[in-house]
Amino acid sequence: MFKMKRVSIVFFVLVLFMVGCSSGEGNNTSSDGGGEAEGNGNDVIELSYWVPFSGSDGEFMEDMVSEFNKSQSDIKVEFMNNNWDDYYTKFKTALVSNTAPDVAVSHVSHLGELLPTDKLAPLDELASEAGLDWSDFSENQVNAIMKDGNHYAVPLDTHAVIMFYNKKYLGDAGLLNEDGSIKMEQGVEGFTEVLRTLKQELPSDVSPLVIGSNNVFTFWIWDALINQQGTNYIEDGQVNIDTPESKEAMNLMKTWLEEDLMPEDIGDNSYDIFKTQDAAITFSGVWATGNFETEESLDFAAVPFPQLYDQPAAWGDSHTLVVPNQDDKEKQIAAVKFADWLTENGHMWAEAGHVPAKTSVIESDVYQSMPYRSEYAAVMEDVKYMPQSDKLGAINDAILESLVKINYGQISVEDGIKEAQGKVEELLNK
Amino acid sequence: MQSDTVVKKDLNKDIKKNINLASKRERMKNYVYALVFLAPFMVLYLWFWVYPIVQGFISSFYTGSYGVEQTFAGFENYIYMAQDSKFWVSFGNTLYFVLISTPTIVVLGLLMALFVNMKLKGTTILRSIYFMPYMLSISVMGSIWVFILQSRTGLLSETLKMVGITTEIQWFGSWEMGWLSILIATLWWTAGFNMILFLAGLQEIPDDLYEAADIDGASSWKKFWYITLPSLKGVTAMVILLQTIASFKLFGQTFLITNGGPGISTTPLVHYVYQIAFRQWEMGYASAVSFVLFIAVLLISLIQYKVTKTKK
Repeated sequence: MFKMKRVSIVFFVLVLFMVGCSSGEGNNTSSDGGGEAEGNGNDVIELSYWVPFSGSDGEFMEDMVSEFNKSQSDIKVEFMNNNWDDYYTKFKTALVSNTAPDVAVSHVSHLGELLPTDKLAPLDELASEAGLDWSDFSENQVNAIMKDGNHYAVPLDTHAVIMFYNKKYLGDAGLLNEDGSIKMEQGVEGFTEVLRTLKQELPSDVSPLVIGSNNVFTFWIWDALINQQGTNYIEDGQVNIDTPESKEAMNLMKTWLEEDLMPEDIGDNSYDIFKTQDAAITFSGVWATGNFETEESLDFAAVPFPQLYDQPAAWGDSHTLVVPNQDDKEKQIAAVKFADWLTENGHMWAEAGHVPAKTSVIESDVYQSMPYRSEYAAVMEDVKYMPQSDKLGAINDAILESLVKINYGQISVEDGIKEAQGKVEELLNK
Repeated sequence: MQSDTVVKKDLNKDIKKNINLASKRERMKNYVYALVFLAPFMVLYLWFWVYPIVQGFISSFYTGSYGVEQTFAGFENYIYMAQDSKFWVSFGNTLYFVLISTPTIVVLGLLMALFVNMKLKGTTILRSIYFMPYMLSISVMGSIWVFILQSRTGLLSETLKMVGITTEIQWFGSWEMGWLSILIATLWWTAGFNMILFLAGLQEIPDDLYEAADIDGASSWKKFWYITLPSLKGVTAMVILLQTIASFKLFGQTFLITNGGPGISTTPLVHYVYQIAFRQWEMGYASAVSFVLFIAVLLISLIQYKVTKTKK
């Protein structure tokens, strides 16, 4: 009997220990924050910082963080890079369970998913204390981060899908003007004619155009093309996919595929195909610039997405910095200061290919003298941000599924567009 | 005489009683000791496995966006599921994968085990080579197969081009090809593990059975059919069960290799659950679908267990 008692005590202690572990952690974080707030004096404010830059742009951000840490001694930022694919899985879960970092990157397009959790701090008051001036940013960008009259994020950049072309191939086909721009008639026919000429003039193993026909690039290009025709896929909360404009955009892509002006069944290797000079033109993200530059034999130009319809438009998104809610206001102000520093030093970030958010940075000599970047910076004015919705990720996925089915001939353009309309309506009404 | 036996009986009873008491106490003590040793595991197990399962079951009766608000909705999620065409397509995809993958992986594992067990020169190296892919993480495995199979820039396509074959095979381009690619990748990845299980089974078969068969002049085919196969029944049942469950849980391969496409051609149920939970942020509906999957796996495992048990 005695032994049993002893054993049960051991068991009890064990349970207490486990429970202690978990609540201990919880206490730690809160007392940590509180402690620093009180004893501010000479303490260094430590900020945890999450980013989704698993591509080549991660290194540039890491350099910027260490530069920031060197530039002053009050704030120390701890950098954590995450995989792009599941970043929002992680970040939103962390937000909801109150374990979020002090400052983090979010795409403008994902703010719609994050804001309803009420876990992101409105920045107006913090910004004025940190000395951040909203008028430094372009209007297009500031509008995208507003909700109910409050600013919720600090724009870091704009990134868009633009056009890259191989100067050698276009020159060979006689399609270059003297200044290096493409010789083409305005509009859809003009552009398709350029592709046809390339097909005729170039070796048979070089594709005139390459895009990711089974991945998100298909969606991005469709989005650009419908915006060029003056529509968007959600307007005033109503799904607006089953339109002549949508069908026109997909018919165009189908034409390119059927005339073999671009190869079928292409995914992320679209970058490689252009880089290894197996294609003459590609629509790709600005972030590919840094990647293409590493291939010395590749002589290319990077220009805004071509205008094929009535008005200029390009798919784009923007990296912004958000500050999760927490009791320690000091940390939040430090976070905004850090965000401001990042945008102020946007030329460093531009190395990765993105277009800096601050107009003063774009106009600076440092930026203007960078190769390629200044040529496509104008895309910022054409970028049409995606509609705001707390289900935007799922909506875009659903549309993409149908568009890819069209590309692979699993469904007709007509039915595919109708299917997308139905799926998105269902998602929104759920 | 009579009284003697009575006394003996009483004595026996007494002793038995004592033994019973002692063993009861002993057993009790054993249980307690076992409990103490198991406690660290049990606490974690209850905490990280059982609790989430129960919580998941509860949340399958709620609707609402994750992190915003949850409202009790009764069976709404389950009713919605019955009408959700994507649920049925992905459920069909999962069943299809179970049907094509389980037999092929089991047969391939068995063939590899038989070959390695022939004790020819170099089979030790082969054994390691066959098993090696299984040690890779799924993301590495996925990248390798994308690298090999992708159109235009894939290793296979480039190699074929070099030897003059220019026909393009779109490995991820359709329902059939997408599944074929995932099957090939999965075979390459997991067959080695099944081989090890079969190999263990093969090595347990006593040699004298074969010796006796040799004396009787049995052909090697007959030896395989009447000795090897029946002796492997237990292992085979286990491999089939493990493989079926693993195939039901298919996710990483489709997520990394085909991303569920083209369209939703290669989206299995677990992949769909991921999309519902982390793209649509509907934890309630995702939990409901997970539970349907759980019940499906449970039923099939039970059936398999029953079938293999009666055969024994």
